[in-house]
Amino acid sequence: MSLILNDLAIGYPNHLVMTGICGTIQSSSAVALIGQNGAGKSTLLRTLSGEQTPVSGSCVWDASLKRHRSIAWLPQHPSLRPDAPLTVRELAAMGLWARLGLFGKPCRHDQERIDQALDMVGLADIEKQQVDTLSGGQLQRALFARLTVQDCGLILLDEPFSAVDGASQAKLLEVIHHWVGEGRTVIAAIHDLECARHFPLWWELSKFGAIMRRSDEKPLSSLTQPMRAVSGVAHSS
Amino acid sequence: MIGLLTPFFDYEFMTRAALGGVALAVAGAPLGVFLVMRRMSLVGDAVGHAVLPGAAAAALLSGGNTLWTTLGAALTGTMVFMTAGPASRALRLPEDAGFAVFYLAALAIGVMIASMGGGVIDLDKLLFGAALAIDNTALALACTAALVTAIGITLVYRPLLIDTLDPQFLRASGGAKWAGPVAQSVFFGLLALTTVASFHALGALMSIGLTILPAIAARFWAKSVPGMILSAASLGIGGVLAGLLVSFHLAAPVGAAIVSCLVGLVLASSLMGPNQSLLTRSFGKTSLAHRAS
Repeated sequence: MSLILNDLAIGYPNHLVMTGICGTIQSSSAVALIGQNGAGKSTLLRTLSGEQTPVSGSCVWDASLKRHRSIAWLPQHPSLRPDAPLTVRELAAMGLWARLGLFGKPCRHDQERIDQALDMVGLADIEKQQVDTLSGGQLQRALFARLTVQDCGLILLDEPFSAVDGASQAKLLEVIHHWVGEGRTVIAAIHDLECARHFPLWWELSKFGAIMRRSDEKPLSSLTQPMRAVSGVAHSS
Repeated sequence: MIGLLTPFFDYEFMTRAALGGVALAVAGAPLGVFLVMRRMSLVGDAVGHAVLPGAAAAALLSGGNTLWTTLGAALTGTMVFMTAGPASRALRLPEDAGFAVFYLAALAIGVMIASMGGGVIDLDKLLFGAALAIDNTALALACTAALVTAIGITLVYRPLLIDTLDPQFLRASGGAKWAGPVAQSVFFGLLALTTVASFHALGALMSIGLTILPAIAARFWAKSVPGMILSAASLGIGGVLAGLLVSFHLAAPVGAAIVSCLVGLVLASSLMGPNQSLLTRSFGKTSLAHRAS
């Protein structure tokens, strides 16, 4: 079970952002996607999510578990309306949509899953509160609860800590570690290297290509050397 | 008090107007709530205006036949709605500016077509409606709109709600890819049907009023979407009945009376409704709850 990128080129027909991205990310990994602004972190995540089609090459998410086949994506600026008339619980329950469809009723297991998700992000006591009254950090935690309820094998996060305080960040990191423990794979675009240090693996994007390495290796600056594309095989450790 | 209500039982035209109005309020409630949540209140208004050229042309050709007028209204309303967005993008106009150009053009062309009949067509009726002169066809259309809208919205409620509140999530959540576009098409189809059905009662200028105004007021009464839909339906029914009575007792134009009553409900709700109204915001929820207890 892994994510396989094969000579992937991302961007737009008139504007290539990156070409020749190769590599494999094993399941149960947490990978921080790092690189300067404009390096292509968000474009890569959008492409992996299926929201944007690759210019060429392919990316394949090969999940062994059927329920882990789908991919969840949380953009940096979600399209959720700030004044959405939803409670925290209803927002988390939205994660059941792919499974329940038009008329499916949430079963007891689904309700328990929502309970657990809200408990995990620390919002169980305010589950009846309206979404528009939440702080930035609380809203991000509620969106993480929705991701948990979605029950996907591959979770893509674009700058998940950019608008949250320290306490919320610690909670969100706990959730990410929990996901990885459950066998999910998490890829997060992160511009702040201090935040990225919490991830066991880094995948650095630059105009020269992409390189995968462990975050406890050499300092970042010594690695930005000219190379078109380097494939890396990552194992969670 | 009861005496005020007797016109509904004493006069058949009042009974029909009340039935038609209640049906349109029921049809408009869910559509209005979704339009307001999608921030599309003015687009709905533009579509309402856009029914005029078709309605005028059809009325001219058919001698004022209700069915043909309805079909004509539906045709141009749908055409403007379908073309205004793409045409704005092609002409590099902001979308709201594009809608303004289209609906003003539709209104102007409609008035010119109506005047070509040399007085055969009642322009006032086309612009402001004739809720008290609603015939069987128009009444049947209003009831059909209420029934079809209730069924249609129930069928697509879930994807429509997610598409309205978080469209990106609907696209990328791994659910059925067709759900979003289908929900939108059903929604706008129902909106077109209800707008055309309202056109006979309220005219081209105010037909969307019965859809939008109760939905705007409903936000001050309920926090959840189903609650808002129920509130909008109740407020719409109340506004229609009050408007008909005002019109009857004061001999006021009926469309204007209904819309005025609905606007009054919006004002009263925004001032005193239990959810986020001026009163609750000024005194705070706790003190109000304390007083209530």
